[in-house]
Amino acid sequence: MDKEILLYRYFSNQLTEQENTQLQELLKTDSDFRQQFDFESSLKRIIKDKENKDLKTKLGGFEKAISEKKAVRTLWYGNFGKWSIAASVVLLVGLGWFFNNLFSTNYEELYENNFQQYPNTVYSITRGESAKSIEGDAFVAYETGDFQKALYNFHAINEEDRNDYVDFYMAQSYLQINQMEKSKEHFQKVIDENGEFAAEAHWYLALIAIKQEDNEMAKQQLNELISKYDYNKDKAIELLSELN
Amino acid sequence: MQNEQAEVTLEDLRIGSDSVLRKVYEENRDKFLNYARRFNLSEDENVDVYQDAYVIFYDNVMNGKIERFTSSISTYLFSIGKYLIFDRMRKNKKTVGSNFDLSIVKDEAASIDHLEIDTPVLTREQQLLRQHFGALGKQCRELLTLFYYRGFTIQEIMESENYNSENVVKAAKSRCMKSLRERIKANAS
Repeated sequence: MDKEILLYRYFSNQLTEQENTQLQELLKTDSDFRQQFDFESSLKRIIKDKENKDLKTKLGGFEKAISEKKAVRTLWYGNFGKWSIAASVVLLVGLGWFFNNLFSTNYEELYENNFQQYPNTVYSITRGESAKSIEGDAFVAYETGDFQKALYNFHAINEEDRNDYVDFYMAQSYLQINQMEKSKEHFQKVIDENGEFAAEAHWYLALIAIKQEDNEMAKQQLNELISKYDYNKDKAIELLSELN
Repeated sequence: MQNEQAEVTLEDLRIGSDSVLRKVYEENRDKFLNYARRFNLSEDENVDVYQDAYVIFYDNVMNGKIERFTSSISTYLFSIGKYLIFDRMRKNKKTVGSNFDLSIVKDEAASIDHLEIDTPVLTREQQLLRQHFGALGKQCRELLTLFYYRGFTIQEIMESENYNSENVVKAAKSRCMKSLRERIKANAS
């Protein structure tokens, strides 16, 4: 069988036992074949690594939603109890306040409930390696919450060496130190260049808009996210309904 | 959505929509945490183990190690979870209490013998490869992910991504691989 096809069948999990024997034989005898096999295996390995990290982040989001649901339930019953007493005393005033609060959007709360710092999923930091590159330094600082230092190092990376995810993490860092305009600028750049984190950038731009009480912009970003990507889709739909 | 009783199939998982992933997460979470509480880990650690078990289970669906369900999804999650709990307890140097029997765990975990659970850390070359992969265009990253991670055949990629023919997919894949190799070469020189 053609070597290319053999590799193809191996990586799409279709190898028969006989083909597997042939593959094992070639791995022992054909060094070019071995090299190609190792390269593709490594590629498979790093993609798996990335996907697993993304999934873990997603599960963290599910978990957060579960604990928030529980918290909201307690809050709701608590408030209702209090206000039913107040309403019996000054019914009109009480109800007026109640409805007013019920139907207006609490932007701060929406932001707090949905904001989560995006973890470093791109740069692997292993012990003893921290000082090897500026980018490494930046991510070490990012992971330890020193966003000023992270930004300093991100800025120090040469333009031509800058991976497309760097803007995304710069935006995250600015967001953490409350420099919203700078943060928006970098998220926008990620979207304009259609980088790896374009979907995530829409999500965070929506959250910034919520924090800045810009209802229209928040809806626009969420709609773009929902129509083009799968990232946080369910959450985005939920959030959108709360903004409407 | 919550009333949906339909079983999640292997195919649903392979497609991996957020709603399916969430459904599986929520349906098994409480059961798992209740079970895990009998060991001496904190609640945060239990949640972490649950998530790790979920990631490993999902990964094995993707890499074809789980070709069909020989038991329910929760059994897989429990078996992997138990393995991880013991591993953690060993690392935390916590003693295994007398209220459970190791042999039981071993027997039940037998169904996961063929799964990939421990993954070695990335080599230096693989870390570099990851950086170069991250710098590829979106289309390449998606195509290679469908092939190497989701185990899609060329035909399945053609159908799901609306390519015109299998040859177009093959050519695109070759271009992506070539571009990746060139980036690595440029970096090495």
